Parts: sequence; C-alpha cells; structure tokens
Amino acid sequence: MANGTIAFDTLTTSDSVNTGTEKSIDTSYLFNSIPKQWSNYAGSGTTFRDSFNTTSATDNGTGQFTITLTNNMSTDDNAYLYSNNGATAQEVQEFTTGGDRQFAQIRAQATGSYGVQPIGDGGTQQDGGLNCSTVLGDLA
Amino acid sequence: MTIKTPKFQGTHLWDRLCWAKENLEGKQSDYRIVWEDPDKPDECAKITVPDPNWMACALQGGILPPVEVYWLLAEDEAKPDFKKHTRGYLLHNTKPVEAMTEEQAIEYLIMKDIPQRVWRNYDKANKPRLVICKKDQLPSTREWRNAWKIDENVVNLEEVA
Repeated sequence: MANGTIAFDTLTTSDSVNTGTEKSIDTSYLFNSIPKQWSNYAGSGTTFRDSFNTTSATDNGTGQFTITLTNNMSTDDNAYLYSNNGATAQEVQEFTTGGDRQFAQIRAQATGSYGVQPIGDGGTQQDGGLNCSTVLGDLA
Repeated sequence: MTIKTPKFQGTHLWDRLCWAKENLEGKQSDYRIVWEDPDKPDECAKITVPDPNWMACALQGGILPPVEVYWLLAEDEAKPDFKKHTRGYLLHNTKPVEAMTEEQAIEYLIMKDIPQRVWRNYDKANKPRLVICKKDQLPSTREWRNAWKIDENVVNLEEVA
C-alpha cells in the first residue's frame, strides 16, 4: 500500500446522515487533547511493555524513575498523569481495600524528560509492577 | 520483509513516530547502561533502559534526528529566561540519522539521555562511572537497590553492580 497524505481540517460524524444534524470537530481539537507520550513499564527491572514517544527509562533507585521523550514537549508546563500498582508483577488483580496501594509524585519536569516517584502505603518509595505514565501538552 | 522508511526530513518527528508505531516491531534490548553521577557521589548507580519502540526506530534509520539537536534544545532550556522551545523545528527539519546497529544506538542513547558530565572523559575518571552491560549481568533481585555501586574492579563485566 502506498503511503500518502490526507489533509483535512474537520471530522464529521457518520451518523449525521441518519440524524440530519451536522456534527463535526476541528482536528486541531483532537491533536491538542491527545497524549503526546505514554509508557507502561515494570519498575522492578524497568522493562517497557509498550510505549509511544519514549526514548528510555532510568532506574535511579528504589521508587525513582526518569522517563525521557523522543519528541520534546514545547514547555515543562504539561499535564502528567500516572497510575500504578504496587504488586511485584503486572497481573490482573481483584478489587481489594488492602495492600499494593501506591500513589506517585512527578519530579524534575523538563521538556524532554520527567521523574516519577511511586510511594507505597507506608510512605516509603516503592518499585511497582505496573507503572503507567502519560504526558499531555504541546509538542516542540 | 524489510520495510523502507519514507523520506522523512521535514516531516514532524511526532508523525514519524506514528509511522514507526504502525510499521515497526519493537526491539527489546538486552543492553543496560549503568552510570554514576560524579556530582552526586553519595547516590546509588543508575540504570538506563532503552525503549523498544525507540530502538526499532534507531535500527530502522531515517527517523530519529541527530543527537546534536537534543543538545541544542537542552542549551536553550538551560537559559534562565527559557519559556518554551522556539527551535523545535530542528527536530523535524534536520536530516535524520541513518540506520544504526544496536551498539551504536546505545551510544546515541548515552549521549542523549545521560548528563554529559557523566560520559565525557568517562574513561579518564579515577573510578568507573559508566558501564554498558547485558541485562543478565545485573543483580537478579533488587535487594539493597539504593546501595548499588559500579564495582571499581570491573574489568570483564561479569559482575557490574
């Protein structure tokens, strides 16, 4: 299949034929609101499962990681989203009220990298089996 | 089947990465970069791991910008009055680098993601501060992770940290 370019400024929903109502969205709205980088990795051993716009992860010690971007962001004033699981491995876990709870802090934001610091129930830094991070903002 | 990289010079780097995500299979590298920051001698050794999708781009060629582009952006960002990048076009308009071997990609990664004070003259320091090794040369558990240091006697890379 040959590579080509389709240029358009708006997307129109397919059900407009049925509803008789034109609904469209400027594609720049879509581009501005999608994640510009994301990654899913294991903290212990820092192995990527999948990612986009990511160059590397650095294990700086227990519960301290740095993620670097291939296409820098325009500024360091981005929205950083993070979710994780304190279990030692990625596994589908049932809902519980007990262990493996973590939260994380974003550290050392720059246009080409950011740090992540997962913290467990006891307030100490922990590696996590499942670390997912996302950056929203404008690309350089 | 080998897929040919489109002529990407002038194409936004983001679009190139979208193309790579669709067309290239990620490459999990066994290489790890173990390093210590000479400005923070009390900190433990750090371990940098290449991203598989990025490695696929490096091996494919014609996608990633020269590493010098990242240095220029870093210089801009280090200025006290930095607000936002105004030379992002360097990422998109500079001629992309050709296909690299995995070892060359690791060298590129060192120069992109590790501070220059670590890798410049790394071999002239009075103790090792940068080692490229294989994943299985690292300790198999993370016990005492925050005390890991590069073995000062590392010669044959059998045991790195």
